[in-house]
Amino acid sequence: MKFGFFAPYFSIMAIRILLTLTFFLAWLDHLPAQSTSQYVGPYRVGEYIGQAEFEFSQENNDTIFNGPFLLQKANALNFVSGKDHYAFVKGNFENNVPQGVWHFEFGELAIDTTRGLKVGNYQYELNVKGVFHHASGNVLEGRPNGKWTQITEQIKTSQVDEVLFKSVIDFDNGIPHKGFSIQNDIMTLLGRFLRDGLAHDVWELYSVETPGPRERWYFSEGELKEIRMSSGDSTITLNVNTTGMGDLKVLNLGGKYLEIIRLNFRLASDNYVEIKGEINGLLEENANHYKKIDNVFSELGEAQFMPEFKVKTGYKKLTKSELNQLNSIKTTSIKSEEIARELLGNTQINILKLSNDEALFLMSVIDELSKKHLPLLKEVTQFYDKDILPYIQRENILTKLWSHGDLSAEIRVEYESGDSAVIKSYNGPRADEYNFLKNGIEGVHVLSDYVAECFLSIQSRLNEKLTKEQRQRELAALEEKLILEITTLNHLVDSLQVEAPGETKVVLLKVKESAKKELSEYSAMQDITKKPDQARLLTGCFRQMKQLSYRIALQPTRTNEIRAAYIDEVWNPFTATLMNEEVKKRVTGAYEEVLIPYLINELGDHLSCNNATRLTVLLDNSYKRMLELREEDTDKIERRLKRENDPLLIIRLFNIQEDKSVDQL
Amino acid sequence: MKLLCEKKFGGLVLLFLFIGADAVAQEEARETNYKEPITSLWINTYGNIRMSNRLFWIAQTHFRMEENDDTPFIGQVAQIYNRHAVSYLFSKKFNASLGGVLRINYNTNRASEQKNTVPEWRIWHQYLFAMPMSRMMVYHRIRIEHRWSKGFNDESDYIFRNRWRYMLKFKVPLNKPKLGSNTFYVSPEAELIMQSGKPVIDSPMEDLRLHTSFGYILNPRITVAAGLMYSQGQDLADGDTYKQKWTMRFHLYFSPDFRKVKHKLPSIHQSD
Repeated sequence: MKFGFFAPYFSIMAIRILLTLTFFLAWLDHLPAQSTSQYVGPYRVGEYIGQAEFEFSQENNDTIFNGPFLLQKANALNFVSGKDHYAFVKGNFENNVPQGVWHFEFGELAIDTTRGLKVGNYQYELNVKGVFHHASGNVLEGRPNGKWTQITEQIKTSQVDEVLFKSVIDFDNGIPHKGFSIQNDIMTLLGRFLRDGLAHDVWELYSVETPGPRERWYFSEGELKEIRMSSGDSTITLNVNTTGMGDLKVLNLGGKYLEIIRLNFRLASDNYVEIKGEINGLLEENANHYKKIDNVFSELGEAQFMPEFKVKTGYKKLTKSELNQLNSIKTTSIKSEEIARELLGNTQINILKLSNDEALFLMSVIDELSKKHLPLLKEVTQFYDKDILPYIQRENILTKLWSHGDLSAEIRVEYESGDSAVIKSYNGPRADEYNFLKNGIEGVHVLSDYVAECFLSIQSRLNEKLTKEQRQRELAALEEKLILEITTLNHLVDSLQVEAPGETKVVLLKVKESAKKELSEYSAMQDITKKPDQARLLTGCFRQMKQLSYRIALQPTRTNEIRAAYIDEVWNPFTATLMNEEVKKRVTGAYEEVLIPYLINELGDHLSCNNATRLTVLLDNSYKRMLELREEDTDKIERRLKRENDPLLIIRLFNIQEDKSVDQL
Repeated sequence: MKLLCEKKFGGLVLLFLFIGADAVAQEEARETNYKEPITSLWINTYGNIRMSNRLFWIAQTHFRMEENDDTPFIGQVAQIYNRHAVSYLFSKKFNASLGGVLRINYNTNRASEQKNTVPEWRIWHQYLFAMPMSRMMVYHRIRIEHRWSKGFNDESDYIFRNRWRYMLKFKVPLNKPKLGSNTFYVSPEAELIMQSGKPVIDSPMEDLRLHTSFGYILNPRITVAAGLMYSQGQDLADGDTYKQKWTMRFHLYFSPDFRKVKHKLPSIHQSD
């Protein structure tokens, strides 16, 4: 035995290895079960529903992606019938975090029949057209790492016709660094980042329309120093001055930063030059493509894919007083805007200003304030809301943003009245108390307070005018209604008279006379303030008189009805005939001989708006009660009715309600 | 006696028909003797008290006076009637009644020393047919009475007779198109009263009454009327002798209904 000397040693080693192996296997056996499954089938990721194939495990009922992932969305029917939204996502997950190489494709594709259709090998071959976007790169723990390329292409007959967008950015664990390029069909942006992702050196924007760089942004460790804009042969240089701004703050290079830059230039220069922000346009387009990928990752697992292009800019915190003033500006300018909108859109005021000079003048002031003062206040409020104000120098904000000459309490308006042009000045309430020499946020605050007071004052004056005008119009409308009511009343009475017997005719005429008398009294009223109420009252009264006229015309029929109701047919054995016998004669007597004459007398001599309703109700209810009394035990009433001539007592005895109407006609 | 016989023969044509020609040929000629008319006055109340939808209680009281030597019409009381019956209303056009009568007869002969009053008892039944004709009403009344009467003499016994009465009567409204409340009317009537029975030898026609009255219907329950009646009829004891009478008649008709309202329905006129 060649290894004889070592044999015992080997045997001990073998036992140790065996034991270690046994323990290791036992430990493995006790590990929590993390079995990986595979899924193949339909799956939804955000807006994309397609066929997916991936590996996953379950943890606390959550799906944990682990391993390769593939999603493909393509709908043949959509494609054939119009347009298909195509999507393709392929990559790898590690414990639910994207890791490794990822590839994305998104497209809006349709059939392109320009080159016809090719059929062969039992297949239809179709060409496609549309927009196709693909992106690919490496991902490290959910962040872009290494070179990422985003390309958007215009496809025609299944060929790339034009590159619409292309960006190539180098990332280091999610932070862009080194040089980058972003281009679309018109412009190309070339720039550089420091290792910490801050913009550095010159960023150049080229356009296919002009030779040479169109814009050059000069950064120094993230801080913008200068912008040079070229147009043809001329170049404008804009220097960014952040002196006195205190701290520098890191921001994302995005819309907000661009607005800060723009506002800074506006406030710094008397001759404002518009920065088109085409660089920002390209950056936003690029960000949108990254956002699309980020959305997919967010739906699936844990990732922070959005790249952050960082810059530095000056920062000066808003003081407590500035915050209060800005909040006040915001509130008052919203209120002022509401008043302006309400007044300018008020049709009644717009009609009123056609006939009223003062209204026309005040509305011109509103118009002036809305066009000049309100936009400034609104702009400042928007800057405040977007958190832009702390990044700018605010000392001269009012004078720089106000572009209509010297600010003062006097508001000069020019407007046309009839054929002539009028120039007139308006001073708001307590105009002297406002100090328009103040600048900065405080100055804007003074302006907003003054403007708000002007709006309120004008609103109040116009409303007063409108109320007066409205009152007059209302009165005219009421009187029109009133005349209509009395006209219909007269027509009604005339038509009812045709069929009415003599006495009824006379009573109906009295209704007409009473209405006429009431109207005459109304016409003679001196106090115009009381007229609307009186007109309303009379309209209701004439309406009531119409009801009353119907009742009067109906009364003979009702009386006959009551008479018929109070007749019994009685057998007379001596004549062997049936004879009508009036029953409850005292009741009918009281009705016909006392109550109705009383009502006729009231209608004839005392009818007015005060008792028209009562008399209508009395006529109705006495008729109703008479029919009821026929069936009731009236012995007691009849005993009390003996020689009773007081109609009011009869009304009480018969229990006739004077204030509650029976069913309307 | 011969004269008497002749009178009987001449006065009663009806009797002649019954007796036969041979017998008459053997009688002597007789002549009717008409007594001088006497005058009388009747005050009659007629009550028809409704008991149910179809039943009435008839209650009539008649005061009859007649002349005496000193006073025409109301010289003395002649009879007091108390007539009752139950009447059943078959329909508007026909009703029948059955009841009794107590009549007090007063002795109108001042010279008589006999009883002053004697009662007379009757059972009567009546069948009344009512027919509307144009604006007026026409009535046919058949009344049959079974009477027990006697003279004022102490020894006088009750005699039994039947009375056969038929009356034709009209009621014509004067101031209204129909008979109704507040209507004046005129009512002519003729009634023939025949009698039969053992005591009736040659005097079957007891009375022929021709009467016209004017009335006023206050309401279906009360009517008043007044009229004048001429009547003649054979003397029971002597068929040749005819009594005559002019009577002023005053009538009060009343028909109360004491039933409660709920019992009045349905009434006869609603079911007919």
